Amino acid sequence: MAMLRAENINTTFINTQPIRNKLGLRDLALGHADIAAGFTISAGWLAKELGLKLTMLRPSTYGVDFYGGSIFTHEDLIKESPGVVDGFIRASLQGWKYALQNSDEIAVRIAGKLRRKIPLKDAVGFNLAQVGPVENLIKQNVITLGHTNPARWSRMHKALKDSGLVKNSFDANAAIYDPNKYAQDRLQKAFTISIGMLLILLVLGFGIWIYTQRKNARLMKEQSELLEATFENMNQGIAVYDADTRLVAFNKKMDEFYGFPPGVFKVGIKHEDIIRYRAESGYYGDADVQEATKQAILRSKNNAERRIEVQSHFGKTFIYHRRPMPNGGYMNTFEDVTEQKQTEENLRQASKMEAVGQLTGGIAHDFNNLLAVSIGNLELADEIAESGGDVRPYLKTIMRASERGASLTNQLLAFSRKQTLKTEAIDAGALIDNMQGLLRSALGETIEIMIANDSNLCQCLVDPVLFENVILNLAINARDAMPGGGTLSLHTSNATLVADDASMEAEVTPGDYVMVMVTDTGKGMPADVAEHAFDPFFTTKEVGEGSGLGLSMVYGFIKQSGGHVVLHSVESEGTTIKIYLPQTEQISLNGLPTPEKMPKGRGETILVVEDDPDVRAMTVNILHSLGYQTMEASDGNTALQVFKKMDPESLLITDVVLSGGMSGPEIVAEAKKLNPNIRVLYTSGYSNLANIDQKFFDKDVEFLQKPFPKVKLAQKIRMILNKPVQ
Amino acid sequence: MKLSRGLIALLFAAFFPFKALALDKKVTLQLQWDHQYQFAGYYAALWKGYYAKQGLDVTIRSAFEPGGKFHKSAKEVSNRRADFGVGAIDILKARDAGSPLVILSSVFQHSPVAFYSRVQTGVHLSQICCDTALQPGEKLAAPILN
Repeated sequence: MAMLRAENINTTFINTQPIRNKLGLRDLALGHADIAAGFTISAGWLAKELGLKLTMLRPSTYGVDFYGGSIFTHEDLIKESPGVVDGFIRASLQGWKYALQNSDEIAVRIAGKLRRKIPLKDAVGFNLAQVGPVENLIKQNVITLGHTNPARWSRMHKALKDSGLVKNSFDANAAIYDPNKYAQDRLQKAFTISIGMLLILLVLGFGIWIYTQRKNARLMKEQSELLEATFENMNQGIAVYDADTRLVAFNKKMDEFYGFPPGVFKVGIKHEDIIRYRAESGYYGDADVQEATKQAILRSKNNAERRIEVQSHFGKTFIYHRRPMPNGGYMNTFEDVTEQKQTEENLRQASKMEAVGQLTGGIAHDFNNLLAVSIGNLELADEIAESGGDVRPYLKTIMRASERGASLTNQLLAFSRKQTLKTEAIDAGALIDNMQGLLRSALGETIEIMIANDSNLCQCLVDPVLFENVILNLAINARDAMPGGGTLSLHTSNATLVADDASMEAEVTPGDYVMVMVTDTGKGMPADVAEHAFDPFFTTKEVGEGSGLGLSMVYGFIKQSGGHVVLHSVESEGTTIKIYLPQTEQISLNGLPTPEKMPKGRGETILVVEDDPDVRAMTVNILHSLGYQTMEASDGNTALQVFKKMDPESLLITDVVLSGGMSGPEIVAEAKKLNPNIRVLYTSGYSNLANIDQKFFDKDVEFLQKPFPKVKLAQKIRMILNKPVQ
Repeated sequence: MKLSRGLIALLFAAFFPFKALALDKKVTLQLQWDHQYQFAGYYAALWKGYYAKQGLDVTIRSAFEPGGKFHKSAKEVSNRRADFGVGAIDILKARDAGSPLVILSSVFQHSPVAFYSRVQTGVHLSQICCDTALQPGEKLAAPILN
């Protein structure tokens, strides 16, 4: 009707009737109508089906060109999901393009696949027949597929309004989709969202930044507290300096160790200022403080790693350890080892006493033998003397036994000495020779002792007492390794070590040494035991039999003496220990003959001061037999009275320890006031002079240990009297 | 670590909201009539996977429901029972009635509606249009689709 009206056709004369059947064209066939509306798409097929011949009038031919099947949607969907709408349009048009190019394929597929409400007799034919009309409606070759002209839709609306089908006005902009408009909207929306997101991000980022900062700060605080707590609770004193020698960190132990009041150690103070403060607080005692401070500051600037044992001025021993750090600074640690040192000393002493204990059994046995020999021979001599016979052979036997006894006690005394004696040049071979008696007592009868000394053996620098200790220790170890008996060999020779001697396990200082080799034929040690043999407290002996300190002491002592120790052990064959001691440059004295002649006196007067009447009588008798005049005194006062009457060139022989007030050195001191050139010979049953008033001894004091053989006394007296008077 | 991972996920979601919403969207296309070649393009788009490529899972619905009910596409889309529809002047009528329908693309450039008469009626259709053919009182019976 709108079409007709558009053509200014008066429509009042047209009697309109509703469609009765499904399609208006059926009405034509049944004669119900003269004109019927139909669809170009299917009219052709229907007409054929109904057997009609039709003429067609298309309204478009007369100016009202309506759009046909168009895609539409709800405005809300565009707002909600513009992407969906765009995608649907694009895909639909793409589908149309394909369908138009492959019409037969799609038509056949529609016919075959899609079920209609009323099935068709010839579905394929029906759909194929629609291909042409649809192409005509789309006009793809003329117009862009899907082209939408808003003006045409406006005209359509006007036509509908003219015929009263619609009443309201038409806004083409709102009714027709403009992808650009929505794209713009979307862009704006995206921009707004982005800005929003950016803001959220910034806030979030800032939040995270703050959170991380706080967390880091907390962690840092925890770390530093932990570090501080660790620092403060350490047994070591720690001071850390930067490259500029300024104190960076320290703990309170430093104040304690330095003996400083709190506050001297503070961050930022220079190391040299600490040294100066220490010097002012009396660290260097009577020494040249300025010079000592200068040296200490100089040393503090040397950034080499070092570990030194230091004695503090208030009686403590510290291990000072300096370690350079990568930033050019350094860390100083102080460890109080006073107690440790004391414990070590005690252990060393205990170990020595243990060795003494081990010796006692053998020595008691030896002494009994000596006494048995002496007593037996004395009885025999007594009997023979009565009958007027020659007693001298018996007396000689007693003499030898007594000498052996004397040498045994000498060694025991030396062994129990407490203080560390100074290193001196000794002949190790002779020393070992002299130990034979001791070794024999210690080892027992089942063990044979073989001593082989190099006749050209050089002297070596070592503490002779401790060296004897070492030999005894090794001998006792050897004895324990040979419970069924065997041979202990002691061998001395000169040796030269080179820097990387393959036979030496550890690094050696190249040079000339005296080698002492101690070999047993015992059970030996497995490799893992041998490896630990020098470790302190390592022992394979049963509990109570040994402390495990013996070999570690040997090792420590030899190392301290600048020597080396090598242990070589083969299981069930034996153990060899080689000790290398540094040679001295002194010529070997070994080859020189010892003067054994008995020098006689020439009537010189000797004053004998001795509180034991028997010893005094014996000494006087010997002196008489040697051709000396004698005077006697039992205490200091008597001695000084007698001394006044004596020839200034005469000799004073005095015991060191005397009952009755004055000691030997005190008598000498008084005597010197009378005669500064007095000659003195001390005798004592104690081996250790140092234990007795050191201050009374002159530098070159002469001393003879009791008991002494006659020849030793004779030689000593002669030597003293031969010295020119200063 | 957990926090930062969550943050990255949040950022991802924040910057790609459209993509996230467009995934696998189910939509319905309401036809004007029963299945036939008239709607060939939509089937082709469905079968050739063009809809799927746009992230759409499209159902093409015939106007005839099996139960006998007839769906008018403009009404279905107006009530949002369908997302898209195929239609023509019915869109304009629905808009006039207040439904905010929007024309997306005019696929058929011309309306397929035409008037037909039997050749043997003797009434030449052109007569109607030429203002001279019918005399007053003469009635033409014409079923009009409105």
